[in-house]
Amino acid sequence: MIIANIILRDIEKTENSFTVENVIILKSLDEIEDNGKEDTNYLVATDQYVKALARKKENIYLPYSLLMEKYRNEQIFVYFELEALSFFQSFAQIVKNDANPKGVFRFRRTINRENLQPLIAGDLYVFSSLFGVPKDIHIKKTDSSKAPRHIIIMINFGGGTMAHIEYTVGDQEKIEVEWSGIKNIIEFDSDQMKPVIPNDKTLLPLTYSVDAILSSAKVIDDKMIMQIDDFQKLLDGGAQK
Amino acid sequence: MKIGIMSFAHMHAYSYADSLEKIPNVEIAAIFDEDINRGKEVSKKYNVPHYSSQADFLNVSMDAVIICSENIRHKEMVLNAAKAKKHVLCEKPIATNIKDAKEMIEACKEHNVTLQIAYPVRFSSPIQELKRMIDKGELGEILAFRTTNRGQNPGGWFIDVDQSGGGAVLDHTVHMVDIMRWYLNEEVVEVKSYVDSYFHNIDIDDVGLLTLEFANGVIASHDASWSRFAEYPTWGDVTIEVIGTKKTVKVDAFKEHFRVFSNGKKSLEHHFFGNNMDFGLVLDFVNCIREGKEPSITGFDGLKSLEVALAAYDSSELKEAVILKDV
Repeated sequence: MIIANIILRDIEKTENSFTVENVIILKSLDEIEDNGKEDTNYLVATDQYVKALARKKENIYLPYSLLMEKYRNEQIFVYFELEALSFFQSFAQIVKNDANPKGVFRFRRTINRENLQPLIAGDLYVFSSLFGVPKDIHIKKTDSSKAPRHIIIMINFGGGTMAHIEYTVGDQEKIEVEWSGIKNIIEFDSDQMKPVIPNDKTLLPLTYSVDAILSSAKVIDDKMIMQIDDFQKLLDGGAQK
Repeated sequence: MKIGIMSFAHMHAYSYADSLEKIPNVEIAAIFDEDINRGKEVSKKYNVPHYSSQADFLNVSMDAVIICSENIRHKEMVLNAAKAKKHVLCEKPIATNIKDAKEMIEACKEHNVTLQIAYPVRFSSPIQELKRMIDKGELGEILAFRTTNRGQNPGGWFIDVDQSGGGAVLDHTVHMVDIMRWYLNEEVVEVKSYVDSYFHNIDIDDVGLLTLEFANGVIASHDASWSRFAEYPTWGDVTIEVIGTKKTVKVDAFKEHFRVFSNGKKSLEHHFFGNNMDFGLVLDFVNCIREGKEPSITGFDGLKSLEVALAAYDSSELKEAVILKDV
């Protein structure tokens, strides 16, 4: 019987101080003896994912962007980093409070990552969970030979929601979110919401807890994979849906 | 210099009139307004004669006119003013269709009068500061723009398509397209958009998202809407972010404000203390006339930004990107 969890996560971004879970932070999965301890969450860096997947002794939690083609049939829990961020959980809850959300959603992420596509495809999956399946998608990218790269994704979700989702490759991670709804406007800018000044060191508010990972993670299924693959294809071709 | 004002249908007329009063050696010569009550009211406010006949108004001795009518009447008034040899500052959008805009430009050329389009955002201090940074090469090569222009539903004739020619997308796209063209010196060649009516249960668009591509490959996103409501801390926004190879810079034209909290209708209100861009626009118009210079914002500038806004409606209707050819 599988009793322990191995959680692969970005070490810097994961907040462990206030979790109710039993957490052990490991440098390497080799530190776990046999099957691990009952009801224990072993936190390891994402670079241990091949080892973790090979063990098949514990539940594995990994960020969607690490999910490799060959492991898609395994019983794996994936989490989307965006869904684990507390600001986004609150934002999503406010939007969901409206039975029929209508408005303009603007999202912008600046991130230092060469391969943006898995991250974007995962984000688009999260947005689809919130606003519905896109009816139309239009994608524009800057010349990839020039830095910084910038991508504009315009989506009509139908049913009264349209969105601009944008990504810029940049040194410092940053997320901006705006929702212009009916008599309901939400604005968030991670740079402006940093609770520590000078703020060049703090990662807040773009950190997430172990609890958030566990509660938002999902077992991958065919529907999810198909939807994310569709987004990947659109991003690969820069085409329109 | 004597300047007349043709119609106070657009609320900017009040701000432009206030600006004229502040400029030395400039006076408001007369006011034309077919709305008799409004005409009498502004005549009293600015202590100038009111005319309800365009012909009588244009017979008054003056150098120029500022046109602030309903959009659909810009053409008629510009043509009449040009024939009467008055220089023209015309509220945006220049017209409601390309044919009219071209006719207006031609008429002003034929009668040798200036036609300037009222894009006051060009006279916002932070917008100008960014222009200087771009021109000095501080941002490197421009790769992308992100712009917004959201505000409140102005109501009245603005939401009557027969008088306005379009809703929020027409109203709030032309400003930022003008600024992007000004920064880049390139034209938009592709427009893809979604235009809809979400916020006010009205028969005209109050929301639109546009994705643009310029001739040199620069891409842009634009959010145009009347999504702001009365309780929001400010009327709306004008923002632009320019992503360059050396630096990315964001400008919020109304960022210079202090926050006022109270227990009134708005618990939070932004009080803007930045420069008065309407005054900058009117002063520039006056100086162009005085010095016989080419206007800072030409009829062609008005035409090209109108073209993009109209293409946004076409794109949304056709559900595909619209390719713009040279006008």
